[in-house]
Amino acid sequence: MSSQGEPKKRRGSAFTELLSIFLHLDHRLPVLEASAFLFFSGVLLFSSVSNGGASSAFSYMAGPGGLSLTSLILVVLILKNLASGWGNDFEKGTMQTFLTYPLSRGKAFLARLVSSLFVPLGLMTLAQFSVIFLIAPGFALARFGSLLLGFLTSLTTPLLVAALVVLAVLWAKSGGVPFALGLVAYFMMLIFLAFLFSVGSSGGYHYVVWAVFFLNPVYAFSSYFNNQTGMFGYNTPVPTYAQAVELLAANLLLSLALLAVGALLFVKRTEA
Amino acid sequence: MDKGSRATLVFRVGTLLVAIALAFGLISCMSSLTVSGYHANQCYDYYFGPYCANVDEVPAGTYTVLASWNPASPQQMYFLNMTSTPVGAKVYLLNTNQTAFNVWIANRSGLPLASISYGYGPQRLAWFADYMASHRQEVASQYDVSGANVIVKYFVPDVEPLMAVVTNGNAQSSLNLTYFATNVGVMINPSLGFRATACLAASGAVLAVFGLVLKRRGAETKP
Repeated sequence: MSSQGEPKKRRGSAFTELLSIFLHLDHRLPVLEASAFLFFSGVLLFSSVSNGGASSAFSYMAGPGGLSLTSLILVVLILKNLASGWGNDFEKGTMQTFLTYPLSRGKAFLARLVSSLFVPLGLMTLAQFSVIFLIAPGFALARFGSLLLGFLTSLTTPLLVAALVVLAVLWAKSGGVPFALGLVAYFMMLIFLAFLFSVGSSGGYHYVVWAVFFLNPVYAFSSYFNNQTGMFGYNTPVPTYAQAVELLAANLLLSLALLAVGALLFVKRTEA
Repeated sequence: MDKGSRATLVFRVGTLLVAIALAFGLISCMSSLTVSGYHANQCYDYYFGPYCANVDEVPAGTYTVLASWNPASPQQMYFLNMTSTPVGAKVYLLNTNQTAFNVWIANRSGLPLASISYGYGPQRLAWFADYMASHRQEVASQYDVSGANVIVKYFVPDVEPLMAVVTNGNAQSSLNLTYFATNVGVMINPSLGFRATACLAASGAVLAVFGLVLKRRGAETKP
């Protein structure tokens, strides 16, 4: 029994060991602390809560206030970890050292992803939810579903950018170009999609508007909620609530699919 | 995970909590300054001209509905009169739709002291002040006394009139007005923020020191 149990334990500890190395590399003192400070300050400063229905709960998480600073901090942190950190590992050859751990390539990829992507995401989640529960507990409990929906929607752009950067890093095996690419992709998704939405709305190009809804479901939910309150003046298709949720799910699945492709690419590129 | 890593983890959790405490401290200070600004001049630049509030006149207490909400009425009005405590304040509760309450705090003569309304503040306040001045008796006579209690649970003195909790005794609706605070430049109730800061900073500092002690002990016991 012990001889069967031993390798399992070692594999588990190898994952933890590798993860702690990645955590140390990605979040050196005071990077994580500075990020936490900015996340919490950003949420407290720019998110406004107004008593109302699902719309206001959604806006708290995915509205301009919720998105502006926290989303930017998240993207910068993810880009730093993924592009600079991971890219440098490839460039300097330290990746080969990490791969000598008795661990499958898939798990090594997962360890890196947890450290580079999920730790910043966790910090942002902690900031968003702890602040809303502190300043308006009744509202947070009553509208938890809408808050969660808004939060997931606010994550779509950073997650998509992260997935693209992972692919770029694995493709280029360097950090510089993917970092720049990720930054450009993020701002393009903010600016270019706004432009496309405006053109699609005013020109009546419904397929363009639906494409924007898919790439950034914040637009889909905003259209839905604005339509509810009669604030929508354009000739714009308005998704139903179910359609907006489907668009959000599709967008998150796209990001996950791209990360899965990244895992396969990682296995392939590191075995070569 | 070995002892060294555990000590590092404890230390980093501590420093993380201290960083979060700093954020809360900063925002609490900003909120506190905003609140003291309100208290300094007690005036709000409303649409119909400056309006000054003396919110200290309004204590916590139980208020009785003198006119019930009539869904058929276009104005859907609650008319409240404080009866439980003999202080010079009245509360008018105006329900403009079925999901939100607007609360008006007025002095004994019916002039508004503070508005903690949702959505339409300045215009509605002025409208309501005018309306009440000329139609108070008329309004009262239009509605039956329902006997439903509206209880003002608490007022938070340092951010008044931005924070109050009002619940309808009939459990038709309740409203936590702390939300409005965030819309007028007070990010967090300062006393709540400072308490959060103190808790986080203290626990963070303890963890960080504990982590350092663990680290040092680990280093001493190493061969």
